[in-house]
Amino acid sequence: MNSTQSLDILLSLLMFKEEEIFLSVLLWVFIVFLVLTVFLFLMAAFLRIKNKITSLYHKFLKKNWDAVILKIMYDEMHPYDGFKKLRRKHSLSYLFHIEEYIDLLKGKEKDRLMKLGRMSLKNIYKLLRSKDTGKQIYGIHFIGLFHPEEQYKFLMVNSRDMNMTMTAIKEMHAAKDIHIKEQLVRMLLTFPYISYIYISNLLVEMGPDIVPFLRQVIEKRHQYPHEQMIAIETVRRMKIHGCLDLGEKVLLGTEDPGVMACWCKYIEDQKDVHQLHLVIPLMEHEDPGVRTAATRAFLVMADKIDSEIIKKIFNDRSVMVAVNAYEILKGESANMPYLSVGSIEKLKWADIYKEIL
Amino acid sequence: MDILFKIVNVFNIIVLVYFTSLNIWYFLLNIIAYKGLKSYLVRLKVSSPNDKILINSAPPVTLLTPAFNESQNCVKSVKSQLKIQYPDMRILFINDGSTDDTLEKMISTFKMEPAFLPKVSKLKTQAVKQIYQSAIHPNLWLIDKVNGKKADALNVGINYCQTPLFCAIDNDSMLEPDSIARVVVPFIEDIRTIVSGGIIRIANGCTFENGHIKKVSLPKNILARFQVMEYLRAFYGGRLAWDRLDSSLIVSGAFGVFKHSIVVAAGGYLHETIGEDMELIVRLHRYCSDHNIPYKIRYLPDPIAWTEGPVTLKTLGKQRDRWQRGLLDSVLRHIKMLFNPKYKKVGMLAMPFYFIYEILGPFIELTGYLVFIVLLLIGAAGTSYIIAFLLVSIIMGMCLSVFSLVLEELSFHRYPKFSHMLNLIFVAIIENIGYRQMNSWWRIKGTWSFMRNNQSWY
Repeated sequence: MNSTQSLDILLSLLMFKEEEIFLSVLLWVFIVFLVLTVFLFLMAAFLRIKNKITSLYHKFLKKNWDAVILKIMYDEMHPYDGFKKLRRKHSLSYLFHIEEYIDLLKGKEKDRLMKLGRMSLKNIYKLLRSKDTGKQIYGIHFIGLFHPEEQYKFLMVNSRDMNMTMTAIKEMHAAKDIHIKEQLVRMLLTFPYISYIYISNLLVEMGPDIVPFLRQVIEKRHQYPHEQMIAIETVRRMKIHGCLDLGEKVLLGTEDPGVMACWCKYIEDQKDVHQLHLVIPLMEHEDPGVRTAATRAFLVMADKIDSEIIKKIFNDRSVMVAVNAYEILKGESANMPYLSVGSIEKLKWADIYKEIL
Repeated sequence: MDILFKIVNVFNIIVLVYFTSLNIWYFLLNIIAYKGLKSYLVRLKVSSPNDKILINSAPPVTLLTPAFNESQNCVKSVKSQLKIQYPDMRILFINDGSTDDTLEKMISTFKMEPAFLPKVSKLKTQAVKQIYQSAIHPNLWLIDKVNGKKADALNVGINYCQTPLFCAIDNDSMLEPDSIARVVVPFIEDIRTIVSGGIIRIANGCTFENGHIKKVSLPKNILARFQVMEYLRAFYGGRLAWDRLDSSLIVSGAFGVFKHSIVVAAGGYLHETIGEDMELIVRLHRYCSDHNIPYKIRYLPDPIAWTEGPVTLKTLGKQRDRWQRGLLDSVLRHIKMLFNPKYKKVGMLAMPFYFIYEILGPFIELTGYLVFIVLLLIGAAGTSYIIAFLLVSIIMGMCLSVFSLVLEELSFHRYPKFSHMLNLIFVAIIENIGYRQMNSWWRIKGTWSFMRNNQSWY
């Protein structure tokens, strides 16, 4: 059989003219996957070469960028003049490069580079208008870096997209205008699935001028425990005393264990002995998290703790109550002359050990 | 004879349809993975590794490292764990009744002293003999216990874990310094997250310094090289896509972070199973769905754990045999979830996929080969059939492997040289001749020993 004959057979198989349909199907499957494989192989090779060339090109560009950025940073060149000298100043790589500097700087140097960065705003708005989600995220990121006040607009529009939301809220703490800040805080409180610790850390970065707003949340938003938890955690982390007077309102107005535990942590940190009477009943609460937090607050604030109370704490049905109590007592033992270290050790090994080992 | 030919023809068509559908499925999964990877890379680019707010919000984590007769690796692996950059991390090294000098080595190297650690949960386990704390690294603890296999050792770790999250890792896995910080991000971004896992890569051929990767290269051993390709395929094409579909059934036992409270509520790791990592994930899906608990199980492509792959046919065969038994056990134990709309995509998509393609796959593949051999022997099939079938099977496998390489090139391109890429493509071709068939054979053997109820692990 010569090659012309073989080709004829192959063609007739491909056109299902032969009786061997199974073989024809196999051939078609083979051809489809072969074409795909070759395409993918070429793509992999192309990507490898492209990455190599891009990284070399970036090395070259960075030399130009660094020279200009350093001059602007040290006030040897005006940002406007520097901007004109930059190559590829509308590229994403340039924006990421300048961000690296901004992240490391403070004060006037940072302000100068921020000015330079803001000159690329036209490009950033172009990214924001793009239909590609990835580009929009880059846009949100850079608008957050150079214009944090604008962030809340994107949150309002895109709060259902997790990636955009997280990118937007990350930078918003840098906003300076108090009205914008309040709007941002209001918005941040509405994300029920983001860790409340993360949100409160973001709020801490916004500074103490949001405290009056947080106070209102603690005082009035009993029906929204997640919001209250964030607000309490934030004032605790900011070490604000000004909200301590809300203790009764909070603890008597809520049934949410999370809120109770957060408040106990707050008064533990502030060592507010006036609220001891509110804490003691919570040591009997059915939720182990509340009992743990209340016990910690009690042990830190109480004037005198007798062995019977400690024994009761150590025999709590949740081991975490005992573990936390042990942690406090170990640290506080020097301040409790009426309770010898030996007796704590004895309790630990006798009661806890027996109970939990 | 005519009837026999018809039967054989029907069988051939079934095999072809089965494999084409399998490969189309994998192809679709790769496309889904591509989308997931693209969006993950954007997020990665805009997140700073020094994000102070994120670091301050990181929940405390306990690293659980079960070990049985790991005298060779234990010190090296704990030293590498001690270098992990994370704000609040404890390490619980669990000596599962080793008969070598694992315990002595740990005690002397890290100056371990008897200490008190409260037991916070009450999962049933073998007895704990002694607890130690390191005098030089206060966050390093050692629990010496009576042997009870890996699941039992992990349950002991869970019982003594006081942090809201724990990370289960294999003793021979090396974590990159920022792996834990990256893998916990889903827990911060969404409090419904109960599990988050990272990618496992083959460490053979790479150079390590002080327990951390220094130079990435391909292994010299051909079996290990096959595994590099397999892992890329499994983690990019498989797990990333299942994550995107909210239906991950596997988070590798070598590197996964879990929410402590939910694992305790679900009963911890199961003792009487061989694939305790997969079984736990399937059970968590089931537990959360049954109790109407909103949950998320996540897989991320860049927190990396490096692990040594087997380099001999015997050890590799044993590993694959064990994986197959684990898969069978996990799926059959929770067979109620199969095609059950109550379990949504997990019941209607992931479980059927694993059942039809991962469990039945090796049988159909090897039966297909056997039928071809018989047909060839009795002269009922021409060589053109055999060649065409072989070519189709090779090209399908190759296509998926090359797709994974594209995903690797698009994302982290950890294998730096161009020759690495060409080498992997060569591996993608030759693995289809011999290695793939061996794998099917090991998996059939695994199924057979599962039927005979063989649950040996170590």
